[in-house]
Amino acid sequence: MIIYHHAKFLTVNEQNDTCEQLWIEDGRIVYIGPAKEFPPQAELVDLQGAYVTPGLIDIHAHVGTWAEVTEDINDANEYSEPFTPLMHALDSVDIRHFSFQHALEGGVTTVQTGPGSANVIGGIWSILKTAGPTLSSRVLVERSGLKGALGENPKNVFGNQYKRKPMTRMAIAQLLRDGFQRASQLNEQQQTEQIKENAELRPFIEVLRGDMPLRLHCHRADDIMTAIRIAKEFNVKLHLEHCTEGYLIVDAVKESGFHATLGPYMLTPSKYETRHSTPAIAAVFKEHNIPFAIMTDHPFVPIQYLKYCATEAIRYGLDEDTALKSITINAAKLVQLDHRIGSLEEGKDADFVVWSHPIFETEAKVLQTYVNGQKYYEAE
Amino acid sequence: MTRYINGLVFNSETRSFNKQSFQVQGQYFEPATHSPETELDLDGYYITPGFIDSCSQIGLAEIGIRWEGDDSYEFDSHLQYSVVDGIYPFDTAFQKAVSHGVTASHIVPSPKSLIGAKTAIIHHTHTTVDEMVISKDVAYSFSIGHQAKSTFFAEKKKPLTRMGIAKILRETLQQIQQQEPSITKIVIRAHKAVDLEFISRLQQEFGSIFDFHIIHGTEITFLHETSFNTVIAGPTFRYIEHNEMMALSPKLYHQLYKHSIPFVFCTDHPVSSTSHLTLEGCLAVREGMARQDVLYALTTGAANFLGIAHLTGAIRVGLLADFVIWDKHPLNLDAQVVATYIKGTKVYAREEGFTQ
Repeated sequence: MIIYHHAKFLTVNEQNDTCEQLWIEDGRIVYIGPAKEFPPQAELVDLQGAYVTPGLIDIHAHVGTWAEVTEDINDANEYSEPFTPLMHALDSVDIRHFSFQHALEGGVTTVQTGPGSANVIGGIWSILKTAGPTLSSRVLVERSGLKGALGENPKNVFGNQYKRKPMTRMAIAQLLRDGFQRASQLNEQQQTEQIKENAELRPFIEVLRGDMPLRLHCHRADDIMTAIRIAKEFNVKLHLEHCTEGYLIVDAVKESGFHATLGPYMLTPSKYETRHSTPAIAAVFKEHNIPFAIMTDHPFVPIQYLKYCATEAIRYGLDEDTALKSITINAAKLVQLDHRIGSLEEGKDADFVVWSHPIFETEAKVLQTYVNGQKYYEAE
Repeated sequence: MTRYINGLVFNSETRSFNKQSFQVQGQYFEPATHSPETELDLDGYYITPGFIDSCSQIGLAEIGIRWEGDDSYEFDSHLQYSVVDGIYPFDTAFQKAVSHGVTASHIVPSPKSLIGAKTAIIHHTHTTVDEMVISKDVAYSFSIGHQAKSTFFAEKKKPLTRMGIAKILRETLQQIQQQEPSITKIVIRAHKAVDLEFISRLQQEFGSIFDFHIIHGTEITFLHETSFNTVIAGPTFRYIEHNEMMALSPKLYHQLYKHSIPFVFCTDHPVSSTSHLTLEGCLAVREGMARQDVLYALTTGAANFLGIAHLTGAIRVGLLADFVIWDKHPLNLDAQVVATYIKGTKVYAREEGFTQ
């Protein structure tokens, strides 16, 4: 057992406790709380007055699968077809990719990663720890959602560049519905076969059965509403990715009951559908009690700057507590992993970050990052 | 005349915040000779000179739109190209800039073209470019390395080597000397150490005519040499766009600071956003730079480098009244701009009617 002490441990649990000791055994937290007498065989680690938070979580990023922002080194968008439901994040992630190192440097210990937004149906996302010797050792959730995209990206790639369908939002909606229509017409046995054979409709069946959500890239207000409309038509769970103009139609988003991952509002609006992008959206969603997480969308905002995406939301009116939760426990809740990650509580994975100052101070630097109780990053 | 009293004002000489008053008459900071018409109590607020972005494409590459608003890059080069002819005053980025305390930018064209254009410094207000310009034909810009090579390949379907780049650049410098003799400042976008070394060689070859300044300087810390003209460093808060930027990190600021290499900050908007200029400063603080030196580099330091220190960049009698009121220390990550003034006129207020 290892005991970390002489630091301020911010648990980010319901009570938001600040604790004095963190006990770790077999990669898990066995005790966190006030200082108490410890077993003599325990190893003591003095953190020299540092500040400790849970490992940060980004549930919308392309870590491990998208390198520089140039398209020639991009394993995130399968451009051959606009409808590629069988693409799977795990077939494209390279665990030696530098973005994992950058994640650790920024205190990020869990990411949801996978296909980008060029295709109407892009493929399956996965949730991974950012450290661990093998890909399988890093996997938290192998199939965490079916990723699709509405709006400008499919229009631009297929309509504009390749001169083929879809050129319009009408065709995008039709392609999206098509998968669900065909899947829902199958009988029980046919569905089971599709799943067994990993056939084209498997992901749609999984979404229809509630095994994973539909994750739709939508920036513009009309795209957000189309995503909601289609999800309601098929009675499936939807997670709104980006949701950039969501603050313009906040009541409709609230009424839908769906949740969102917000960002990357730190990126300069580079296209029409993001021109109304603002970090103020986080405070607006908070005010309306719409659950949300904050993303980097790595590589667009590099993964090591996840913390700064949260601080920018504070600058635009979000409270510090919610800002921290939106990159820790609330992100974990939105992907149903709050029993394992997102806060420092007994029984949870020992994913934590040691900071030189309180996390949101300008001077705060990541000194160490731990995943499953192991130190994977230490500042020079 | 308006007198602003009781605020914590950044003094560029001492590089510290002191409680003091200042007066604005028309466009300028004025001495306190007459009794003011109005008085504004800034107790509890921080006041800095307007921040200056030392390399930006604001107005030249409009945000929220693709090619229609992008005038930052041209296929063929021409020495007469000037950024002044490409700036759109209604780019919504200008409003974003002033709402984050950035009042002026040095406009440099896109890194895509090897031979760029004549640069200019503009204020982030007004409706015509002629009113915006603080200084034009400030420098001539170039871009070397990956970007220049890949643009050339995309257009000509044949490769351009660093040898080829060097030849074109030297020839162009000779032409500038003949055709634009008033331009003595050369700014060059470069990331890789090998390209930075080339710029040092140019400084030796052409040092009697031109001053060369590196923009970006990602791998400058790989060099043993520490004698450079002012570097326009960064931005570091940005995506890694190509292989030459793999070493990009805010540690750049630590290294420059440690070796006392003079540098100024930039966002290269829209690469980073003009609204993140302060964030670049915050990252430098995280890496160990003193807050007061960051503030100096964002204001007076930038104005000195750009040759406009006689016009703006400090809260000093006789200079244009470009200043920003902050609700807390501007380098706190959650600091908000309360109001921004350019040439004495309020161009942004967080709350409508901020006067009291």
